[in-house]
Amino acid sequence: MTTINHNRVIQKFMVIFSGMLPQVLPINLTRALKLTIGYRYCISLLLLLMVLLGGCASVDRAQQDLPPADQRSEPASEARPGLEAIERRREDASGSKASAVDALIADVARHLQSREIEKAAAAAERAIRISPINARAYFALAQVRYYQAQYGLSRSLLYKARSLARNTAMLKAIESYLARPEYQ
Amino acid sequence: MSNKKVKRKSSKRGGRSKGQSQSLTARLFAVLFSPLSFKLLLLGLLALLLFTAYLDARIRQSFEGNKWQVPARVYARPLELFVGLEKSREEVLGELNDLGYVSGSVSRPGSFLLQSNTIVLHSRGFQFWDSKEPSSQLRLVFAGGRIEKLTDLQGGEVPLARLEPIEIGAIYPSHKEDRILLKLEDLPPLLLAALVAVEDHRFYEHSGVSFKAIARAALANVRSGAYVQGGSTLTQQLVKNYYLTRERSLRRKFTEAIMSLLLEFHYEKEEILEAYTNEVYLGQSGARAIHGFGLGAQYYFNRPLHELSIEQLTLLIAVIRGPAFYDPWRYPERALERRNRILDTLLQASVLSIEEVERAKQQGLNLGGESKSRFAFPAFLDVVKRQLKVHYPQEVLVSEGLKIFTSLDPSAQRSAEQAVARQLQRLASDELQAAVVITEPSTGELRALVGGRQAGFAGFNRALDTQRSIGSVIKPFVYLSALLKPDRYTLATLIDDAPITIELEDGDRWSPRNFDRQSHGEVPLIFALANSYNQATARLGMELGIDKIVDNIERTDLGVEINRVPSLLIGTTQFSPMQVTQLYQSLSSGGYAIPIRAIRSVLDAEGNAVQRFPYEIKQIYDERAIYLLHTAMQAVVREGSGRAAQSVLGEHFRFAGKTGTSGQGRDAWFAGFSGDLLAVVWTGFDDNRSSQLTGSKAALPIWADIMLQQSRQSMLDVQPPGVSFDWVDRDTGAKSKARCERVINLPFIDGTQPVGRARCWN
Repeated sequence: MTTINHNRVIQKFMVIFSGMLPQVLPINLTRALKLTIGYRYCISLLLLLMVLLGGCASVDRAQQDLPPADQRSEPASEARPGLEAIERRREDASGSKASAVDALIADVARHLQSREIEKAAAAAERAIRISPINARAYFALAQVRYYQAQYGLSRSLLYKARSLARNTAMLKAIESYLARPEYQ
Repeated sequence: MSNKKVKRKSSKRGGRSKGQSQSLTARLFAVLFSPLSFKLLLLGLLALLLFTAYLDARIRQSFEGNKWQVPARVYARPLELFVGLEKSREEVLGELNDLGYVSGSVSRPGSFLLQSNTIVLHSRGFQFWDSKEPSSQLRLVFAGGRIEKLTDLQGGEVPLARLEPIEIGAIYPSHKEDRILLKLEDLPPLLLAALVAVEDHRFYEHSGVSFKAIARAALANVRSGAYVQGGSTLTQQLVKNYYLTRERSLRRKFTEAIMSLLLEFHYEKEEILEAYTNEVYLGQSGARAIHGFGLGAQYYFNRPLHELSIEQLTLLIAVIRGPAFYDPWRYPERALERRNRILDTLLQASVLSIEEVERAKQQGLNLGGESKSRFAFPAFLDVVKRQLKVHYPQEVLVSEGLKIFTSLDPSAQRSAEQAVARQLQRLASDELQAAVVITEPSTGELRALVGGRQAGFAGFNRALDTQRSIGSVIKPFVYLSALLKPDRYTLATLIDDAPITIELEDGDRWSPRNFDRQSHGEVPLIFALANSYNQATARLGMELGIDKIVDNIERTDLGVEINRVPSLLIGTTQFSPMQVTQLYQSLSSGGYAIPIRAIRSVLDAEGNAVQRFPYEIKQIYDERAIYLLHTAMQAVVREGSGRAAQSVLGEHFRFAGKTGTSGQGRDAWFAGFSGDLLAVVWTGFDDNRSSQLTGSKAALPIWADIMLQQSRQSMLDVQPPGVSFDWVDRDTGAKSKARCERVINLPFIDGTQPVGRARCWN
């Protein structure tokens, strides 16, 4: 069983998001946030932001012209019975399990917020079991393992996520994660 | 000395001219109150006191804390319900039946309603590792073999829900006592009232032993001239069952009475009643003894106790008197008659109203029988036990009531067992054996495991314990080793299939031959694998070096040392089906080492998390090389030795695999994967004699049968970055064009595409 050092997790969390934040917010705003409302609130705010961004990303995915309809975050896959079924399965793989996976990824964020790291991991793994071809599910687990400083495992999960991601935003997010010094 | 004294004294008294009878009385009086008797009495009392103290210590020691050894319970994976789940209405219904759900209104947990394309169900709720799944009412709308809509009864969308998992077995202590512990507050009040009314109606008044009851029973027994009634209180019954043997002797009765009094002295009535309800013996299932009402309900009705109806609860009370004599399966009339008699007693005791009794009497026995998945999968349970033994001592497993959550998919397991039975029957051999291992390609979770043709019986587990030559099943690793060197090999690289003789370290010479005894000249690498040419493979392997290939195989974390000899190249190495699955897991997952896991998590008896077995994954092969290998393994089933599978599964279904046959058909293998399943099948004889069968004749049909039943997802076709397609000539591997004849479109790692001018070669 993995032992969890909460302080370390929080520190990691800060490092990650303070690193990520300049891409989203002006740097001085990040600093101002840190100084004025303190780490704890800053983290909550960032989590909220992350969840919101996740929501936006799914909207983006639907609206983007770049990836064809059958190549969203879950790649196309075919099924046996007849052509008609194949079309339907394509649609399935790209979207219909999404609400279950979304719900679980929201759980991951919630558990992280309440510092229940292994529960967060369990929720991410459940998402992977439900949809083993969903890049976001692997990405979520990779993030949890990163917080736990399990960089080797996290990196492999990111590779797996990258191999399944067919959405530019998702690919970018994975690549920028992989560029972190801990993975080098 | 003192005896003489007594005699002297009594003779003196006797001499004082008194009547004979008076003298006798006096003598008796004297004996009784003589110092000797007094001492004896004191001694007796002391012995009784010591005995009582000993019993007291025994009672207190065992009655506090854990009273029973409770076996660890093993569960299948819970069925996750969500929109997009590829299960038909019938498949979900099968799961509900296995869980003992009853059709009818959905006002109570454990029930469902069936409408045309809809199931409305009331789930029971369950404590899982990560959270408690609440009991909830759900509406599942099906279309085209999957869940189209999942809502609550108000129409609100439900993203995800879990049914409780099916129990598939338990790990028993040697005495094989089984029970589900329940607290008094979890027991239906009706059951308790009925129990007291029938077995011991003065339970709340007596102090452990009821002399009135004994007298009444004795009278009844004398009157009828046989043993018709017992005078034991519930406390005495508990003492008898919990502490003592079943023998009927005065000494045991005496001990029982003292212990009952002590038990009542130390503990509240409620505690005694709770212990009784968990201890009571209710039946026998083979070597397994069914104890307690919690398990009794599951055993007779396949439902939790609190879901039972009046007549079902009454039947549980009815069998207490003699679980074998009133066995409702063997003697339904006898059991029914006693149940109805007890209903009358409950009416007299005002536990039930006349209407309730009348209604209950109308009902049959309504037996459910235990879930058909219970103890049905001994080979899978074997894997679970072996994995558990690494982490827990046997003592803990058989006594602490742990809950073990596994990844078994009962539906996949049944399909695999049926496929083995069906296909072996087709081969018309009574002794031919088979083993199957099924996992999920990306997570390594074990879905099903068949250890032999008689899947329902525990015994030699061939999936784990038979080590056999794997034949050409090894070859993808030879070709992968080549593709991992893109500067030297592509799918189009020509490999010479001319005869080859290899000089071995001991001076011997080894000349592998092709299955068809022919040489095929220079063939593109993809077709050397697709057609499983031994000569080409041996030549390629020797070029690459045995060490390099073994190093690549060992990256899969197989955990066994592989003999580094040239004959490895055509699969003389011996592996178990489970080990082959572990090897192929790295291929099906896209180049990751993933340990195969059968257990997800462990909870203690109170539902607290004890351990979780997390998903672990490590990239070991370049994903581009794996993509190329997948293409070659698809060619195996599309046009090579595995093409029979493609015709079973249909042209549009994408999957990859490899056949394998060891020397003279001793072992026939097929290993392959689709998008959602990886399955490895072995067939052969236990005594290792030749079956004259090949992988494609014996193992492949079982594999295809399983996939046809269970696989819902084609293999993914995700082209990794850095790979692009080019047309090449099928015979020469040279750059060609789409419009030419005998061409094939192949993936190449960037920078390795065939060069030169594209032209038609034929």
